[in-house]
Amino acid sequence: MNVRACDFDLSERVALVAGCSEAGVSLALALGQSGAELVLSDSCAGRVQAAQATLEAEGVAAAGIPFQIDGRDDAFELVNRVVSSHAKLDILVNAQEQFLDKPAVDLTTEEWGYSLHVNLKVVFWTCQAAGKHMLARGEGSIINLSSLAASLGFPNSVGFAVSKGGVEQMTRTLGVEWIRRGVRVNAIAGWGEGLRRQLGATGAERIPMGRFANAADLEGTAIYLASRASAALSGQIIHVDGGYSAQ
Amino acid sequence: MIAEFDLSRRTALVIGAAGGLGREQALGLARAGADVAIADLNQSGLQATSLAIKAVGREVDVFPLDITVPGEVRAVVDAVEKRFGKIDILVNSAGMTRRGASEDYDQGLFERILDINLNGMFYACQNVGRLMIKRGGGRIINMGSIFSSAGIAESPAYAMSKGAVAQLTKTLAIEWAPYGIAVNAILPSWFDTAMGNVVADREKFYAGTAEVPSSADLAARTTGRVPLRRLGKPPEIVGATVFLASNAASMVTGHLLAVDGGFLAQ
Repeated sequence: MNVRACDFDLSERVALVAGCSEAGVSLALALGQSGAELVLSDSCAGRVQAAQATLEAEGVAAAGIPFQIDGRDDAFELVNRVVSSHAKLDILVNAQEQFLDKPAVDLTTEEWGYSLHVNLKVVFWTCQAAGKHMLARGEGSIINLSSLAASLGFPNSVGFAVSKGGVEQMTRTLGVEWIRRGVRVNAIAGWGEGLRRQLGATGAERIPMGRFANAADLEGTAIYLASRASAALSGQIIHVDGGYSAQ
Repeated sequence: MIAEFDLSRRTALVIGAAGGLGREQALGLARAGADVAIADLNQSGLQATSLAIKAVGREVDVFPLDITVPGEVRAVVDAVEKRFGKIDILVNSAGMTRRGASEDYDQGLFERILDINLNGMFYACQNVGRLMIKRGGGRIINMGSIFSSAGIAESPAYAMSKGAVAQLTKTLAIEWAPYGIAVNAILPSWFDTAMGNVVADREKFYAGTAEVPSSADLAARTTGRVPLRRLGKPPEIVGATVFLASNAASMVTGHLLAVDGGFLAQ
């Protein structure tokens, strides 16, 4: 395949960005500026509105669906709403995440369960719901937000790290399971807000680039993964980390 | 036996010891000299493992346990400490899997597999970890899978849980290294156990799916992809287990040790 700049164009694609985290807002902006029709969702209505305002200030319009996912059926309902209003769903970005900085011995069962719910289970159910729709249409691209904590160990982050490890295996599993039916599943692993905060300024010294990659640094990769330019890519985890994991 | 591998005067807790690889690991640790506490939901299986360990001449006690209940895990860990005075080695070997198309995968089954393979393992690590921190050291061995790092179609809950096990292992290894606790994982390929012999037990693994693949088809998709071209034999898990539990591995932590006939080297 000869790739042209136009292959990165996302016009007439409908993208659902689930989770208005720092990365979610950044990736939504990138997809929107590349032409995608955007739908933002989050369990917190205020965060959806704030994300819409941020995008609007950049000249990007986005529909918003405040929506809490407690189980598989909720995720299917969310995707149904997107398909009802926008006729289809081409791109799903799973950007819902929660980081808790706490020693493993002190983590309560509730904190552990909540971390897995937000960072792993909700991501899977949303993949299932979007995947079901995309498989029926024979095309689609799913981008999961992973983290360096999915492959490297960092102290005091066990619930987050374990969930992200699960997200990477989910990405590979769905990636191999669905690619023949036209649906691609990939992930971006970077420095999330939580790790950056936890490691502090001195943590950056060990990064070849000399600084943490931030949410805006993930944008190009998201556009690539969402677009035709990555048509043969599935089940991959792209590390956008300033070279840290290459050491 | 070379002294570094000797486990005399150590106490091991093996969770998931009623059958499969957990039973072999409990027996293997006993043969290497350890006294063994064994826990599982399956009590008749526990009794059988207990008899086999007694025949080896080591101390053994059985602890019925539903690993998905945090309070039960805590109570069993406390009871083992009371009975044996300490826990030097924890082996987390409880697990389950079922096949099914990811897009239709049942929520209840998904949660059940995560509860057993992941949540239960964390509760066990946390409770035993607290004791080990107090005592100033210990060995934790978590059972991962080749699907801790490779992708596999139609096993979303299993692959996710095992990927998470790899990260649980690395996170705790880094966090607890200052306390002298080593945390490692073993990543087996398909073994000839009730859980690993997907060809022989394909009706069970594919229960609830539209179509059960033929034996030949499944064999090609499983052992056919292993460079050694066969299932692992359960005793073949013992070497890695004793090694990671012993002084021979004193500098090894946060490691994922594949016992997989070369699968992950491809």
